Amino acid sequence: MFTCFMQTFLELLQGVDLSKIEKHPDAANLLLRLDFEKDIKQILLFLKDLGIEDNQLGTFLTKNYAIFSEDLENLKTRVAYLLSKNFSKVDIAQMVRNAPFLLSFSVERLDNRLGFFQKELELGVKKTRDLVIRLPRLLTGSLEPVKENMKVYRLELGFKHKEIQHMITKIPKMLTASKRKITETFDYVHNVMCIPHHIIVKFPQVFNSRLFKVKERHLFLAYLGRAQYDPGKPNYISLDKLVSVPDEIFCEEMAKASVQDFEKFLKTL
Amino acid sequence: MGLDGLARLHGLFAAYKPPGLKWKHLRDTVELQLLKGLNAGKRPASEHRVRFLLGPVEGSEEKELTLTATSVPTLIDHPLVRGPAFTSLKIGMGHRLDAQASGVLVLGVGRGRRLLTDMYNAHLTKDYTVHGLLGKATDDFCEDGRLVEKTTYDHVTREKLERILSLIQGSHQKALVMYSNADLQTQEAYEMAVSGVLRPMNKSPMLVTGIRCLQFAPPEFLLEVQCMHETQKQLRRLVHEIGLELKSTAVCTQVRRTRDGFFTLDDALLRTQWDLPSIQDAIQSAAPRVAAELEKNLRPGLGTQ
Repeated sequence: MFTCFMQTFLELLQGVDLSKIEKHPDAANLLLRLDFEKDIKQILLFLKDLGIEDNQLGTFLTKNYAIFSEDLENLKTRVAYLLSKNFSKVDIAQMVRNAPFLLSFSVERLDNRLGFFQKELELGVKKTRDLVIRLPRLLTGSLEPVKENMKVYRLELGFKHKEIQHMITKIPKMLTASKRKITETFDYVHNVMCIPHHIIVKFPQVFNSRLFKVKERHLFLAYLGRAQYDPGKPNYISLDKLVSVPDEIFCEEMAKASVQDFEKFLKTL
Repeated sequence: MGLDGLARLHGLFAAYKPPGLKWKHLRDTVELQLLKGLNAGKRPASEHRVRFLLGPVEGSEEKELTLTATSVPTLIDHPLVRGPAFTSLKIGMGHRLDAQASGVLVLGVGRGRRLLTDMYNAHLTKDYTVHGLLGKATDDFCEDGRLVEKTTYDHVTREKLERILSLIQGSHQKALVMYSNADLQTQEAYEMAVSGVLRPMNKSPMLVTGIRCLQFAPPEFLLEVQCMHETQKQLRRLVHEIGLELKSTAVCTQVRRTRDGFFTLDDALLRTQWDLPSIQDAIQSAAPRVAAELEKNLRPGLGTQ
């Protein structure tokens, strides 16, 4: 019986991963109790109206299948609230796509969250809006890690408030990164690679990358004598290129060695 | 490709464990990468089933819906219903390396796990390079442990170090003969001892079969150690004891395994190579050597009981 129901489901929206939904204990009960005409169709039309394409509906519903149990009026109020805060329709569609649970939050909750970010980060209204559009997970996730991370950046790592604002506008993911990873990365970059604060602020991507990559590449450059991170001196290597380029380009341009040499070096670590 | 990929994934291969990574995380990462590769392959074609569906009949005057038999694919095997084809793989681990050590680590997949036990029972030696630092002593014999003592090391010369190393090798040689339970009066045991093949084939404490100094630039020195039945902590303790024998102190800065049995650094796969095709190739290329070595070691007559 479940298979027959799934056939209608799949025919209408390709892409919903039922194996993942099955893992949640109450999902099956919820979905079987829905009536196609009354609940599903209206909400699907509403989502399409919002701007979510057919092929994107699949991934959306895999994450937030519970949206079918929401009241259509509530969903419309929430979208109206976001529009009133000057989010454009295209922005709202993008936010809902990246954070499927956004529309399941009540208006007061969304309001609290937006207010928190505005007060905590002290960015202007437009910058807060851009931040939230880029990473809508901030509105749906818990606020405790964000508060914790802000304290870490300010007190433990010693960044000034303006520096933190600049880094967050460039890499919003820093707010939700794990505390241990941030402290370990900063410890290595600042103490071992001897890079001062103002250069780290210019390249916050280093907090987003894997620490082992930074370590391996830095040790290789140090072994070759090319570990120059001071912009004033010649043969300067910028931090963002250090972490983001793939191995072949790193070896060719920055280390001026072959990939085999890099691999041989890695086997001596 | 999924099932064929799995068919070629039985055997032993070696990975290079970087320092700072726990061996369990390495095993889990390798498992995830292999599963990703296997699930990306083609699935077998789904079954079909005959169902009676309502549809308009062609060529009839009345617009009536009648039941027609059509063959429809069943959804039981659909990937979005069933999930990924492979969810777990059995990967076994050879001799472990602790978090700070690095080097060759042998892993066995599928039927290769049985070969791991054979390899363990073959009691082969392993090669390590150990970097030591003179002048301080810590509680866990590593560079970043709690400092216990600081000493001078100006009086330490290369000859003194080599004298200590040959003393260590001699004492371990005696222990080697004792633990192999071989009567040196017999011709067979004597020949084996002379050719260097003699070794214990059951549990024994750490035995160093060879140790020499590769580089000496005070305060740093580099040793090459061949040993069996060791743990990396015992190797670090060895460095500490060498420091004490030299009337100074020493800590161990790096322990690196260069050979585990018959897997060398050249066979070890780096982090970028932990994916399905490279591992399959590594298993294929190592398979004949593994078979030959295990056959040689487990042949009766070579045992020293």
